[in-house]
Amino acid sequence: MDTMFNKRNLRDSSLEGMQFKLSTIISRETHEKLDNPECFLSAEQLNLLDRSRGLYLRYSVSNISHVCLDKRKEKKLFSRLASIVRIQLSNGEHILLGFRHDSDQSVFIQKLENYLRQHRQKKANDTNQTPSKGVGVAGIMQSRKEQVQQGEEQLHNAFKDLESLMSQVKGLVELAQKYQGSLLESKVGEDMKEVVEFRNMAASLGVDNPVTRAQLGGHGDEFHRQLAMEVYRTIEKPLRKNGGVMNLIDVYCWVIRARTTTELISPDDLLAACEMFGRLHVPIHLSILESGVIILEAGFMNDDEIAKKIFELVQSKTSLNAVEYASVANIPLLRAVSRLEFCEQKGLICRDEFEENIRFFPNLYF
Amino acid sequence: MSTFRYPPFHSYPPSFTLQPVKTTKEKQLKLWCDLVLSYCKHYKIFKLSLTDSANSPLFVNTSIDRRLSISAIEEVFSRLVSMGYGEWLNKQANICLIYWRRPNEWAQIIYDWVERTGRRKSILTLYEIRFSEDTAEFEFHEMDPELLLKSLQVLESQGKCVIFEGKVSDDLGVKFL
Repeated sequence: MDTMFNKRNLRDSSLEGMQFKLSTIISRETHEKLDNPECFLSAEQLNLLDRSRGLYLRYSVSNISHVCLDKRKEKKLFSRLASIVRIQLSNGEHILLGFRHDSDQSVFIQKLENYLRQHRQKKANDTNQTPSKGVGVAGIMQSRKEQVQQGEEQLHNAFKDLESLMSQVKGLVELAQKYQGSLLESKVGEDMKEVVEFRNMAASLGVDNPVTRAQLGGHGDEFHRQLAMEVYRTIEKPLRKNGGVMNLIDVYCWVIRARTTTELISPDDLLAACEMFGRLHVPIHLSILESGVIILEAGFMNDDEIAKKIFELVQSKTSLNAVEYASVANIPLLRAVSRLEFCEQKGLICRDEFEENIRFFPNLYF
Repeated sequence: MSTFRYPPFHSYPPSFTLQPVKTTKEKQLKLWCDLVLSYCKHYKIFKLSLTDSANSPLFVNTSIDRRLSISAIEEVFSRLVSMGYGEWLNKQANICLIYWRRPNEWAQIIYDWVERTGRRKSILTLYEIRFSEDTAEFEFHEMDPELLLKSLQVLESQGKCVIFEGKVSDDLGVKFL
């Protein structure tokens, strides 16, 4: 990679472009802090210089990967009033610029983003202009062949990624088991509170004996049946916490996280397992919302109870919209909408549409 | 004239949104119809135009920043008509007669007045009935001419009066029998 910066004498510098007033610059790359520096930005370069120390940093725009406002970090290194811009370099390092004025800072970001875009476009154009290989049918065949090859390569890489993920999971599980083992051994004399805490944590994290396809000889209903029971045991508590409703995606995350095994399950397996809930008399059922989102709903609350709860909630707050309800009940927004509409169908609440906002009120008159 | 006291549902925001649920909407329209009738009775309004009433305080509550849309008002009027409490006078102009008393009730009231004041066998113009000092204390004073004519036609069909043609409606004469 090219050198990211040049320390040179002032004489060498060609200070083109727009000048910005800065209070401080911190370069994580050169571990330097410049006070009251000057900053020049052109389409090609970002020049930073500290006249008092005769220090001069030059960055080529092509070595900058992105620029953004930095709100959280390293504020203490700057004066209280400074607004800080973070410039991410393509070698992973970054520099922070402290601006005196917000307006300067936004102009700077805008300019630099423009230049970055131009550079990217130029780069893309350059790569696109590769000479064409052959014409006519032969050319088409050649390009098809290349496409297929490329596809195969991508697929191969994807599987390689998955393999590495699996091996990492394996490592993690081993680590956890080892830790658990050592904790159990050193139990005597240890702070009991810590042990209890860890056990609780492990309980929320892990399933002791997860079902695997290998155990049950691959395919079939039996695998899904047992998986269904495992899913039920895993999500019963989180489901209650989430107001009786969870996205299937969230359920998938919970189940995957809870399985202390190297064998991941596929989303299709999870769906097939969840579809068995009815047959297994598990008090959870799958629903598909109008948007196509699949959710799991606890059967321990029936519709009438939910409607009654909503009515009470709306009454206590005078009026309620779907977003507020979703956050109060801790359920997905789409579910909140469908529940409110259900309650509306029952005539318990009614709507007030005003400037495209819909609020629900307790039905006092109709 | 005393100011009209609006019922509580007039300051309830959902009242101004036509409810999507059928049974809820039925009740909502019924409340609006009742309100229109009592409002018109209070201010002695005999007909409402759709466009004008969209800005009337009847359908606009500025204190909660809500108004009933024209299409919703049209539904209210249509409901009044279907229940026999109104009649489209001119569907194009969207003017609706509001029957806080129906024509046959008006007919009865007018005929009672005729009998009590000894006006049988005499001829009156419609203008006289509407604006004469003698009728000032009666509800049909300053009545809408179209509605008056409709009411008299009811009496005519009962054989209680004969209507004479005139050039304009106020020129019309009526002989009570």
